[in-house]
Amino acid sequence: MIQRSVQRVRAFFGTMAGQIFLILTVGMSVAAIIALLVAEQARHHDFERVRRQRVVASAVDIAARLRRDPTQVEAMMAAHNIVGAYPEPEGVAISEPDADLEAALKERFGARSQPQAGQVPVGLCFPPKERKDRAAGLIDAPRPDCWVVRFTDNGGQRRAMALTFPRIAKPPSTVFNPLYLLVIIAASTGLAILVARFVSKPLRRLERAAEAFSLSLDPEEIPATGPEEVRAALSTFNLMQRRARAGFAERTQLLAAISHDLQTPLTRMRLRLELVEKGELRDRLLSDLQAMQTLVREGLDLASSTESREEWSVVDVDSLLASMAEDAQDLGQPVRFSGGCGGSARVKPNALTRCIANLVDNAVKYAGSAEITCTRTAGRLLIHVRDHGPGIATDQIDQMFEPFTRGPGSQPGGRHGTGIGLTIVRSLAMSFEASVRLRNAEDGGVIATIDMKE
Amino acid sequence: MVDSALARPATLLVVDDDADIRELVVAQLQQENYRLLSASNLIELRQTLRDESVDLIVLDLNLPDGDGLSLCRELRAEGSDVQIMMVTARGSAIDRVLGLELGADDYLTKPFEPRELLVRIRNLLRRARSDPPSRGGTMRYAHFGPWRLDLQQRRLVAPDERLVMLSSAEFRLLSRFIEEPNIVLARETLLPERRATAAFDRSIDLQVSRLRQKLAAIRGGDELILTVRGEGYVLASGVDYS
Repeated sequence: MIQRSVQRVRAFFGTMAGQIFLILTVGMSVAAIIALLVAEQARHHDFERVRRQRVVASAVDIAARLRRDPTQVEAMMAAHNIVGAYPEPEGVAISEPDADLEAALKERFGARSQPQAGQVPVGLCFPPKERKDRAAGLIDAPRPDCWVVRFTDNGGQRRAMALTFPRIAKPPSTVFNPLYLLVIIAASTGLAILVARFVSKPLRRLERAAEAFSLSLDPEEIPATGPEEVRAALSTFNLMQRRARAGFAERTQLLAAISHDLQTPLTRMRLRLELVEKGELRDRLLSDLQAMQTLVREGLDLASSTESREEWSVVDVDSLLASMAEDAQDLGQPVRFSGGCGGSARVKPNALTRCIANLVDNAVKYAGSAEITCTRTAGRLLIHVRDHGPGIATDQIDQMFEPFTRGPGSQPGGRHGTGIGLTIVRSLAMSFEASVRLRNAEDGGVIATIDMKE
Repeated sequence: MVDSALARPATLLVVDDDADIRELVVAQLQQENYRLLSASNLIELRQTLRDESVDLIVLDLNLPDGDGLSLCRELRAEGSDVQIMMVTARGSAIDRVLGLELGADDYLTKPFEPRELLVRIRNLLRRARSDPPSRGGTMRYAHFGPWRLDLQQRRLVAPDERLVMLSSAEFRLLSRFIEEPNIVLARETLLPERRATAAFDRSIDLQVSRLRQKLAAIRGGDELILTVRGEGYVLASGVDYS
C-alpha cells in the first residue's frame, strides 16, 4: 500500500507536470520566504532607527534646556523630576558604543561634539533601591530602555546623561509562523498545479494525436489552438501527418495499380493454359501462375487493407471465433477454438475476420495447427492465435511484420507464401485501431495476439 | 417455358473489352455445348439483348463505354430476369456485396479458374430453370423473431445492431429454415446437398443445437427452432424480408 503510493508519487514527479509542479512549489515558497526575511530585516532596521531617533530627540531637548538654565535642569535631573532624563550614573562605561547613534548625534550637535552613546543594562540606570516607588501592577512591566549619552555642547561643556524610554516591544518575526508558511506553500502549490496543467495540456493533446496516428493512418487532425508555440507545434504535427498519409497513399496506389493491371494478363494466361496439353509443363506453368496470382492478390489485399471503407459494427467475438474455427475444421484444418471471453468489440468485422484468418493460415502453414482463444483485461480484448510449431528466433520476431519476411518454415525447395501475410494483418488491424503482436510461447510455438478496445 | 428451355442449349453472352479474354472464355464455354455470343462494350451488349434471347451474361464490370454495375441495375429495373455472372478484377471499387445487391446472381474475380467459371455457370442455369420465381432478388435482410439475418454478409444482426457471426454450415442451415418457416423439416432435408468434405457428416443435431445457442443469446431468441419429435425441426417464426 505504502509502496504503491510511493511509486505513484515517484511516477508523478517523473512527468513534466510533476516536475513543473515541484520546481514551482519549491521555488515560489523559497522566494516568498526570502522576500519575507528581507522585509523582516528592513523592519528591524526601521525599528532601530526609530529608537535612535527618540534618543537623539530627547538628547537635543535636554541639551537645549541645559543651555537655557543649566543649574536648575541639572538639579531637576538629579532629583528625577524630568521623566526619562537623569544624570549619568557613576562608574558606567559605555562598553558597546552605538556607532549609528553617535553618527546621528554628531549630525545634530556638530563635528566637535564628540558624542559617545550606547545602551546600557537598565539596572545601571536604576539602582534597585530606586524602584520602591513603582506602582502596583507594574512589577513585571517591561523596564525601560536606558541609554547613556555624552557629548560636548556648543559652550564647550561636556554633558553626560542617562536617557530612558519605555521599551517598545518588538513584534515577533512572522517568517516562521506556521500559518504564514502554510499560506505561502498552499498558494505556490495552487499556482503550480495551474501552470503544470496549462503547460502539459497541449502536450497531452499532441501525445494523443500521435498515438492515434500510430494506430490508424487516417486520424482526425488536431485543432491548432492555444499559445503560439503550441499552435506551431500542432500545425507542424498536422502537416507531418498529412505528408505521411500522402506518401503512404501514393505507395498504396502504386501497389494497387500494378497488382490490378497484372490481373488481365494473368487471366489471359490462365485461360490459355487450358489450351496447353496436360503434362508436366502445364503443371509447372500452372503452379508458377498460381504463385503470381497469390502475389497479386495479396498485393491488392495489402493496398486495400490500409483504407478499409468497411463500416464499424459491434461484433460478438466468441461467435466470430467459433464460426471461423468451425469453417476451418470443415475444410479439414486442425483449428481449435478453445476459450471464449464473452466480449464484444467495435471493429470492422470483415477486416477482423481477414486478420484472424491470415493468422490462422500462417499457424496452419508453418506449424500444422492453430488454437484460437480470447481474453479480456482492463478494457482490452485480446484474441490469441497460437501454434505449436518451432517458434521464431527472438531476433527475427520484430521483422516478421515487414513485407517479404518469411517464417522459419520456408525451405529453399518449397515456396511458402508471399511474405506479406503479416504485413496485411498489421495494416488490417490498424484499420480498426487494433495492434498485433507476436511472441514465442514458453512451452513452444508462436502466439499472435490482436489487441483491441473492448 | 421450362420445357422449351430444356429443349434448346442455353444462350450465353460474354461481355469483356479485352478481345483475348473474350475469345478464350468463349472457347472454354463452347466445350459445354452452350450457344455463345460475345460483346465488347455496352452498345454491342444492348444490341445483342434486343436481337437475341439470352439466358446468362458473363459481364466484365469495366467496359470502355460504361460501368457494368449500372447496366446490371438497369436490366433489373426493366424487369429482365436474365442471369448475370459478374466478373471483375479484384480491388475495383465494387465489392461482392454491392454487386449482389445491384442484382448480379453470382460474382467471380479475375483471374479465375476456368473450371470454376464453368461450374458456377452450370449452377446458375440449373437454379434458374428449376425455380425461377423464388429468387428473393435483391433482398438483403431476413427478419425472424428478434433477429435479422444478413443474407449477403452471412451474419446475424441483433436488435442492438451487434453482429453475431455464423459458420458456413450454420448459415446454410439457418437459410434452409428461413426459406421454409413454420414448416417441419426432416433431418435429411436439412443436410447440405453437396458434402464437400467428411466434416459435413457432423450430426445435424449438433449443428442445430449450436445454432440454437447462438440464437438464444438475446431475449426472445430461444424457442425459435423447435424439435418435433420423430419428424425433425421447425423454425417457429414468420420471416419478412427487407
